Amino acid sequence: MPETYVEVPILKQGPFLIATVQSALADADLAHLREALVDRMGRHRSRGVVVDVTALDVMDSYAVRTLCELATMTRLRGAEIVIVGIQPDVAFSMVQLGLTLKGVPTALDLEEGLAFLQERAQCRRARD
Amino acid sequence: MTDELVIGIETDRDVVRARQAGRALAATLGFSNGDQSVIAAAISEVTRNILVYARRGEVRLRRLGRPDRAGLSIIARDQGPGIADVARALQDGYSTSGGLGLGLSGARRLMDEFDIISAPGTGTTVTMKKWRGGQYVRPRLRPRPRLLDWGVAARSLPDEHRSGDGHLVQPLERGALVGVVDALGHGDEAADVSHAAVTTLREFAHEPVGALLQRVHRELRGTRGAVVSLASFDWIQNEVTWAGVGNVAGVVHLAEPSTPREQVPLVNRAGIVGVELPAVRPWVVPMTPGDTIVVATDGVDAGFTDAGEVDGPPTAVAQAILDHYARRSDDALVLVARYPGPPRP
Repeated sequence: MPETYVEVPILKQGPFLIATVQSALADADLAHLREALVDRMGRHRSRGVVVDVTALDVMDSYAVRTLCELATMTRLRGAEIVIVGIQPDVAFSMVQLGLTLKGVPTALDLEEGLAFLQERAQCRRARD
Repeated sequence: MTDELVIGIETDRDVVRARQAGRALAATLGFSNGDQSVIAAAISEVTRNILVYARRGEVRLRRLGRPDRAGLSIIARDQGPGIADVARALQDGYSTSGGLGLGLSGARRLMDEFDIISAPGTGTTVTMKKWRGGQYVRPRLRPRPRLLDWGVAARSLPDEHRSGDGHLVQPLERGALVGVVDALGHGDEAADVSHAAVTTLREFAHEPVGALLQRVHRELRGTRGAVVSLASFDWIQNEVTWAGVGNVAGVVHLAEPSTPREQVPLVNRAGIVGVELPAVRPWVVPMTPGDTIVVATDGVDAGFTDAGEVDGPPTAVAQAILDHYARRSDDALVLVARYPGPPRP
């Protein structure tokens, strides 16, 4: 494992966190992002997380596994997650690989992702 | 643009480097965006397998020059522990590392051609090709994965530490080279000669067996020499090419015996590689999945060719033959290689 990771910037926007992948990520970078997000979520008492993978070069079995794990952890911490920005060619290669982000909400882009989280938050408030 | 790119794989950064180089090469060859992603993902999967299972290895990216269409070949190679059951490793959801188990099976689906050669102890070579403009839907004809199932059993004279017998199983792009060497004499001198022969064979394994014997002959000049038998399997032609000099006997046990023959003896020319090389005529034997080749040095009684039971795991078969037929007076080695059958359902 390398000592230094490619840091993915994590922005706090109200009750939500936005992580924007800006370059290709090695396996260890992805795992590091997962830990960093779970940590920040707790510190900021976030209600939801958007992970923007527009710039991710490859969505392979490791990336999918890591994102699925992140989604499960997020839910266990009482928050929502949405993955945005999967490019058409990446989606195509995922289908060919037989990879699905099973049960993990996705949205077209950041705007739609945030709208999704707000909707979920409202549902939750109404229920409470 | 260089015709071949070799990228060493030792860390997960190398995985990223390899897939980005693959994407870039695909782009210059005119592959669509979708295909570029597919190629990058396939490289990512096979190079990660190198890291996870073998810790290090390399990937070779090569443009395929054909007048009618452009293509890209990816060869990922490691010297790791190998895959015990390739057919199973290619099934969705099968993993021994705790992963999703979609790496190999997925990479196979992504490419137009996919071939894997692996056996315990010899490492793994995955060869993949993608043609520009190839269909996105399942490719028409994909060579099925092949695995040479083999095993070896050997013992040296009780008072010698090193054996003059040697062997190799070297995966090739479309097959594998199997070789057995018996250096004349015993002890360290013989062991050094045998080692030199095996090293040369491994390095030039892709050459035709006749040329290979001549090469070893030149290499061993000035030594007491060795007797050598080579069997080069070809997955595409379904055949094995045999060439041997001196007393390293071989036999093919046929999986589906055609009466009255159940076996084909593999005949060697008299001579000593490194001392007196006869004119070698390589000999081609058609192979059916399940056919089993047994090769033994002359420390094993020639009666081994009559051993009836060769159906079990190759290592066990080799050990049984050694136990039953080895003489007490010489180093002895038995190698058993079974031509791969179709993948299990």
